[in-house]
Amino acid sequence: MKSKLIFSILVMLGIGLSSVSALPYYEPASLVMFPFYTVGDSNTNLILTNTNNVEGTIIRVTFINYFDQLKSVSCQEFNQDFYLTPNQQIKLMLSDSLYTGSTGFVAVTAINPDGSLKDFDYLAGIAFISDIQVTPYVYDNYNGIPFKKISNNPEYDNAGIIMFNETYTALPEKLIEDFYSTIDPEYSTTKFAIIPSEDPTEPNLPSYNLFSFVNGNVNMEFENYIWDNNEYYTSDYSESETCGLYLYINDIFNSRKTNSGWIEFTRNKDATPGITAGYNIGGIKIFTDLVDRQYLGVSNLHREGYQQGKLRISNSPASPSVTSLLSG
Amino acid sequence: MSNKDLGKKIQALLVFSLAIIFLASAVSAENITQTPDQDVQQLPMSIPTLSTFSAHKDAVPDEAGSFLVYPYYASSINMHSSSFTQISITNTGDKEVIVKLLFVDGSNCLVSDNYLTLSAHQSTFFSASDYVPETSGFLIAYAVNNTIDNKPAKYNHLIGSARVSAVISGVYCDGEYNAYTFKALNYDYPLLSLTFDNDHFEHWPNTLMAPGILPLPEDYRQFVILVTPSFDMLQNNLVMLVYDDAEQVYSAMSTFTCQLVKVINDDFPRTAPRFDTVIPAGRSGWMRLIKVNDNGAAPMLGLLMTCGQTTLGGIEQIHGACFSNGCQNATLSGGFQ
Repeated sequence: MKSKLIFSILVMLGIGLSSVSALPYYEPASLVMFPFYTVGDSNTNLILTNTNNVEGTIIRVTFINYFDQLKSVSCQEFNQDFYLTPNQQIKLMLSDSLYTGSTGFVAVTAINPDGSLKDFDYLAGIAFISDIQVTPYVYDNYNGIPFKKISNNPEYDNAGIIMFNETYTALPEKLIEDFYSTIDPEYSTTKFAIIPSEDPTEPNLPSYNLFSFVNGNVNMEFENYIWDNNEYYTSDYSESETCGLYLYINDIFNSRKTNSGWIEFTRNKDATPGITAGYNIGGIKIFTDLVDRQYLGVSNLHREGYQQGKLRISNSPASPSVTSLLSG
Repeated sequence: MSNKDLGKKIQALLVFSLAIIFLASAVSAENITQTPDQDVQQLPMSIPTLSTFSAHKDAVPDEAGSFLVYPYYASSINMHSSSFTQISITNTGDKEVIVKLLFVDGSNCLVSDNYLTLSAHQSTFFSASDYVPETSGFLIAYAVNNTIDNKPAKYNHLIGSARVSAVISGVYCDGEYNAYTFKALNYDYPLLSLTFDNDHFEHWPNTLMAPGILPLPEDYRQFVILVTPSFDMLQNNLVMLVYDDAEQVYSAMSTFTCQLVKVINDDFPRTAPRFDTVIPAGRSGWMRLIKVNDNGAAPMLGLLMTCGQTTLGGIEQIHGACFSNGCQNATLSGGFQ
């Protein structure tokens, strides 16, 4: 009976692989975003899985750094193509391919051999972040944020343009962290990494750069509700010429040493006239307890609301070394 | 004919043969009848269609909802045992809300309930040991209309997370995870039941995919934690498919009741050959987990938790999806009222 049951499940998986709808948990998707990687004293291990039983795919893994300590540059793009056979999983230790001292985010997309975006809602990913600020060595993991392909539009797909809420599932209107603390940095640190998107209604953006809004500002409004008395704060934080935000919580609440509550991260699109930017794609919180239990807590920010946005990745044909696997 | 052409023809023939075998087995499986001594019933084997994509543009993980599931907590009032879970619940909306808490003891599925009230925009956190000391299990939190009839309310503004510091089987597990959130959908409140049918509430997944199964040093362990929407001691059948890094699949079965907390080792999943041979040191793999009942793949949620003899953290939701004919409906019964 056992073997029959298991074989039946294999049959079901083999034939009816696909999810029938997007649901409120981490489903495999055509685009998986990792808001944060780090290489250097800390390190990142990306694990990418093709959950399809019968079909392989080419994936384009695009790294964009928030800041490269060694080269003192930011928003540099670097991509690698891989071919994932059915059920294949790959591990990428990012220190093997990225400069020490760099931090940034990662976009993993299913692509066709010509470089166009592919409808392939079977990619799942998880990132292990290690941190040696504390001893002994600690790490935590977080899931890549999935975005399913919901329609095909050659105009966008061939150009490598991801249109959230049009060709891919929607972006959140707000990112929310429900459990923060700003205490003495000697004892713990809380950082946030947040990826913004382009304004999809802006027609005049150059097309050559992955994040062509890099000359714009990342303006965010932070709303802070203190849980014990509903005390309410709003603070703005802005940073220009960046393709992502990586900041300490004490940069936001530098006047308060100790408090806890929750924060909404909302893009304030009107904060700087003439600057266009879309909503945030996603973000994570990185909490490091340096003294008490000494651990690292990395988790995705919660989301609320649905918005449009745009993201570009390179649409160059897939690497010949990868496409050769298809013909073989 | 060149060797290459011959190889391609053989490959095509193999693929075709496999497809025929798959289809034939799927059809024949429909005709399998269950005999009384069978401990596991067969799955419904109607041949599923290929993807009929009907994605909701607006459904994403970690959204605010009316119903939260925290798949694991551990509590201890004994400071030396160091098992501790800090639960956070936040009301992101602008109205006051009553939240019912159901602490489900993982060892016997008994439910301990409580309430808390969150004013508009309030966030609160508490230790699990404040409510259920010296136990471990899972927590359900959902908005209710009032504390008299306990009818679930539609209030899609709740989010939550848990910070766990626990000792399980002699290893330290430290980390944090976001609660699963389910939205109440098309009904005006008060809702009549906790039914997850994509009409009252969003569906639960019916297959889980744990993507990061790593062979770890001797002092480290990975745990799989699963929960089902039930508060009874009925046995659930669990099928596990383990994929090694050469895409070879190995199967195993197990059973559990309302919650499963298992360390990954040679006994779980009990593959043949054993797990340490399937995924030896230095390699990696991933695993599908499917709970099955009379009607096929059934709903469940889970966490993957990485722990170590020394402090090492790593807790995350396991990926979920609905394969084949889609998710089964689930109704939470026996204890929520």
